[in-house]
Amino acid sequence: MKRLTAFPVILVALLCAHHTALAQEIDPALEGLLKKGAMALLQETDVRHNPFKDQTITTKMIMHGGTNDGNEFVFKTITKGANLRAIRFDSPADMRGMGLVIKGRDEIYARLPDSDRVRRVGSHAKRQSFQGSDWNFDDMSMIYLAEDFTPEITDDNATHVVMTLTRNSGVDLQYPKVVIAIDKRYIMIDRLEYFNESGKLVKVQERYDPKKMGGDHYMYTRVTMTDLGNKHMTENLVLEELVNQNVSDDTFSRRWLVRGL
Amino acid sequence: MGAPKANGLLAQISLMLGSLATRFSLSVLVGALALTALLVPSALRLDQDDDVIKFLPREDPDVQRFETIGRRFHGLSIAIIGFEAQDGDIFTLRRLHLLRTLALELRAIPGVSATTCFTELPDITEQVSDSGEEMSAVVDLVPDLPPLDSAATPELLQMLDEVRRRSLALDHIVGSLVAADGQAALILAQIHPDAPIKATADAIRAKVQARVAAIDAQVDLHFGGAPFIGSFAAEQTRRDLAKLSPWVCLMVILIMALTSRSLGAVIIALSCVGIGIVWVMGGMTLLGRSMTLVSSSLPVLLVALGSAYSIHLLAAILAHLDQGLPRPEAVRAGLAHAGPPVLIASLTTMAGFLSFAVMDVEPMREFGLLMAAATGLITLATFLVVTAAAMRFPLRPVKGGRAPQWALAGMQAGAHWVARHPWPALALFLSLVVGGALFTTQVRTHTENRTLFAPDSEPIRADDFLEARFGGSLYVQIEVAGDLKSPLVLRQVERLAALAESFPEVVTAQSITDVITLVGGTMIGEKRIPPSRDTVAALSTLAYTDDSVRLLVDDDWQHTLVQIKVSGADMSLAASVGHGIGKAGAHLMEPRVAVRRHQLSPAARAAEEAEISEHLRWLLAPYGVEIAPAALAGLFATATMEADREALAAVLQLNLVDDPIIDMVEDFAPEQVLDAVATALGTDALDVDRLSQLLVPYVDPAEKEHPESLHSGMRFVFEALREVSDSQVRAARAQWVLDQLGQEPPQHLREAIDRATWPLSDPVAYVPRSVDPNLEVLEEHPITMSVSGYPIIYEGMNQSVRRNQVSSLAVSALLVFLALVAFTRRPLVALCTMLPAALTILLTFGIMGAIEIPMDVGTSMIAAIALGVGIDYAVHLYWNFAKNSHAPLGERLQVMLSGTGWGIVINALEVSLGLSILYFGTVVPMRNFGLLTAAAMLFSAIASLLFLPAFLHWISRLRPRTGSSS
Repeated sequence: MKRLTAFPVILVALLCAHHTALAQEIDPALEGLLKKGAMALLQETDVRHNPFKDQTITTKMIMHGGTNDGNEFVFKTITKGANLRAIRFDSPADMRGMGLVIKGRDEIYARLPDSDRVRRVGSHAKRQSFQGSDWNFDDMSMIYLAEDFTPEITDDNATHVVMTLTRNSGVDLQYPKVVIAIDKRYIMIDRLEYFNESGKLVKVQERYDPKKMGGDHYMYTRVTMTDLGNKHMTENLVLEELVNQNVSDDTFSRRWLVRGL
Repeated sequence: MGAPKANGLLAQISLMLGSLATRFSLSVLVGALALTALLVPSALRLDQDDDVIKFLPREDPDVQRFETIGRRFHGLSIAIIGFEAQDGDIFTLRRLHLLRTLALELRAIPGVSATTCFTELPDITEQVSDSGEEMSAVVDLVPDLPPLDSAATPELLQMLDEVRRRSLALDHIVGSLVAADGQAALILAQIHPDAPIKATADAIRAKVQARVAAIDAQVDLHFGGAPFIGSFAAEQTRRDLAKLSPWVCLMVILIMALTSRSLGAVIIALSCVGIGIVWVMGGMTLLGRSMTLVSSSLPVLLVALGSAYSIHLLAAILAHLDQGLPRPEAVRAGLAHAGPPVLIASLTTMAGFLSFAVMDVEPMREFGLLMAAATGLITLATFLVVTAAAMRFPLRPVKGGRAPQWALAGMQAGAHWVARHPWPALALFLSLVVGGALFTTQVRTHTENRTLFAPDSEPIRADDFLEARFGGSLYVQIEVAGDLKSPLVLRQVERLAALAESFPEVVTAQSITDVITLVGGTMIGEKRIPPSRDTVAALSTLAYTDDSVRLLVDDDWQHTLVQIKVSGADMSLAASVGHGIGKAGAHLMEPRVAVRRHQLSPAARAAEEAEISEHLRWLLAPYGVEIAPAALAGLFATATMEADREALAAVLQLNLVDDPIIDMVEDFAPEQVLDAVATALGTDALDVDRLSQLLVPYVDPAEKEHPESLHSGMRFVFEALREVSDSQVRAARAQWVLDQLGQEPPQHLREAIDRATWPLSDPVAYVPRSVDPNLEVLEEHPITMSVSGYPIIYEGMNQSVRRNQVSSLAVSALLVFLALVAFTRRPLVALCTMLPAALTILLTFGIMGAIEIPMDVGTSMIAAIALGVGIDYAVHLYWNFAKNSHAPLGERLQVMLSGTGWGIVINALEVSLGLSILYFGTVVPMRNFGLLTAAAMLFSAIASLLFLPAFLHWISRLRPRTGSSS
């Protein structure tokens, strides 16, 4: 008799434990955000992806496929706010020391190794990629999605909330539609699908291995961007992260490119 | 002259094979048919190998170099797809969509390593920002396009207009990717060296045609470049053969039926050939061989040539049947009569084909071996199958024989006249020899692809399109080897390109320096090769992200190609232009060194100025301007100028106040130092240290905590100030040169002249090592170059064709001679028997020279075939002549010609009329081959029937008559 009653108890206990475990994985803030709506959720993801005043990361970018298969670049990127970015290349050897300061599409400053010139470049080329990768300027500048897109929740499953983002009128970005998948555990986007003007899916970005590196926040340490038309993929690996280092605005200047400080 | 002992051996072999077939006729037939049935599936599975590159002589150093270069640059096979707008405007939404879609889709085809299309390129312009800064503006030349079904709104039309305007303003695109009139565009698809070229070209064509149809772009398509030409040639050759082979067979059947007057004989003869063909093709599949472009003509050649043995044997059997002999006796008599000459004829034919073994083209060697083996197999089949079939199948005798009396009478009369009139006959013979020889000297190898195809064919239409819209499609490549990240090497490449463009036949010369210059202009603001290797190295990495750059430089940046487009379609001319550039530019490859400018000796300085002068003369040559070297001395006298003070002030304002590189004290103003800076600059007394002295009193004290960094900043500001002065000097120099032009120069020429003189203001100079052995050398780099490209290997191919022609003919002649000596036992007789074939060769080549048929891979086979196959007629005639050694001339002629003359006529008619059908093909080499081989067989038959009896008669009169030794 005891055995007969013990079994259902054990089963129920196991089921409860499983349910409890699931409930613990999902970020508790999600429920409230869902009640507030898609925009609130999207804004939260923006915050979760950028929870710092400034960030310095070292990235290794690896090409997969095509004629530059296996090519690698290592560079340090200093970011402050939505618009300021400074990049210094560490490898390959030919690129070591090359610097870029980006203040906006029309205000990019470049200095090449052993050159006594700093050149201003304006890039409105949406189809030209960064260093032969699958990233273009638009891809890299889509940091705060809530500013440029209107979201709509299209799916809510056990692990992800899926939203379709429609480009706002007047926004100068290449993609009229982006579909994102928000990981419920972190309220962070781990997949983005980019659609072109003809409604065709052209690129997919996927993010993996969320970790706490430079601060008390998660960041995806492996990101891939795949160009479906070219059958080419770029893999970005975050090697190091530092945040809130009180980076001065003077970093984002020609002076920094010439003198390093 | 009796039939010698060796012929006894041949008769024994014939009879032995024949008796096997007569005694076991049913088994032989069943066995042969069973073997054939077994091999049919293999024959049908035979693979095609359409690789035209295999027809290049592999041992030729130019071909090897071409292949090495191809591998290094991911393939030099460029498929060119031309799009010609039917309504005259390529810049419509539909067509831009088409080009963009194809540029991406073609890249996904296996075997395509890269595509280039103007729709995927950036447009870089120089602008001035709102704050007055010079900047490079990078935009997509063709932006993201609205959907195909978008309405033609004013915004859309404006966008398209803008694309048209910007595209047609770009020198590096117009004439290369877009026609100057905006009516046509190109997509270039680079094919990987390991990819199957025809299959890849076919896949590209299919994709393009499908997309054009789907988008309804209303463009005329053109497929040019070596991959499409080769694919077209292969495809058309196979189509021609498939289309014409049945007609060849039909012609052969018709002639055999009319002349033999026996349907049974026709069926037996053709079945024998068919069996031989199946055995050969089936055997090829089992041995893992494929059918190449040349060997695909094997079946039709065997039908025409291989039926000769059956015809002769059957003619002999039928002749004895017609004389009233019972069938078995008629068959044995026919074997004894025709067997030995059929055997020796087969051997001489095999010898003719085996001579291909000395050719330096592998598919040709293989073809020769195949045809020799096929000839041997068909001969074996003849003795077995024809004999067995003749025993089994009804063959009705015809009273009075089958050869028309008028034909026999005609042949006899002709031969008799020649024999009785030696001097006129010899005069006629020698006239034909001399005439043939004279025109033979006019034979040329062909130099243009145009001579290969019909005027309205796809390759010719593509050629016309590319010539009219883009200046042609013939490229010569010059490969330069050296450290291509060194400015020292790159400057020489730039000079080489300028030299190339100074040749009047050259349309454009593109090199990696064009790319470096463009990227440098964007990233540094200097449209030239930077003086620093590190800077060049960074630019090279940035440039190499574009796939089209891989056509110009290899992965290690140790080899580069200068791509030189030559006008017209003449390969020989293009090759000679290539060699001419190589010769004229040889001195550019002398060892060079880098030296600090202030350490240049007078000799070194003079050498540098001489090189720059030479460079400038090359730049101006296409405009018809010639400047004497001495006249350029004035150019170099301008070394410094008083710098524009406003410009200097702007530099100081930007770098010390607005966006400071160095933090200055709060009340600093550029005017405080402007005078001193301008004076020092004007007297060439300003350097980093002097500038530091001038500025330090105004520098923020905090800066002094970082002296090294501060020095970097000072150097940056100094270089910016110096650039003001230098740019003025450069502009003055460039204007001096342009004033010689007498007309407004195009922008690219202005920039090229600027680039040529710019190094004079660099702190480091590059000069030839030889000018001064005492120079203090900073660095030194070896540079080498070699000329390559399709026109160069075409030359090699033409030389190979000539070489192969001579060597295969020589070997064929030797082998045939040896076979005939073994047959006749008399070298003089053997030589005499070859005379009609020799005349045939001279007459055939004489026709080629007279009507300007060029020599190519196909026609290079003709001499050996004419000799090896044409000699058959002489062999049969000799055999019948020698049997009757004691009879008077008239009787000998009668026996000789009635025994074999009609067989020769049948064979000559069916071979020549059959092969002449190939003249209706679309590929010119096949037409020429058919026509010339047909003519050769006719000449051979006529020459043999007319002259050989007389030659043999005259020789027999030189020797005392002996008893027969047969």
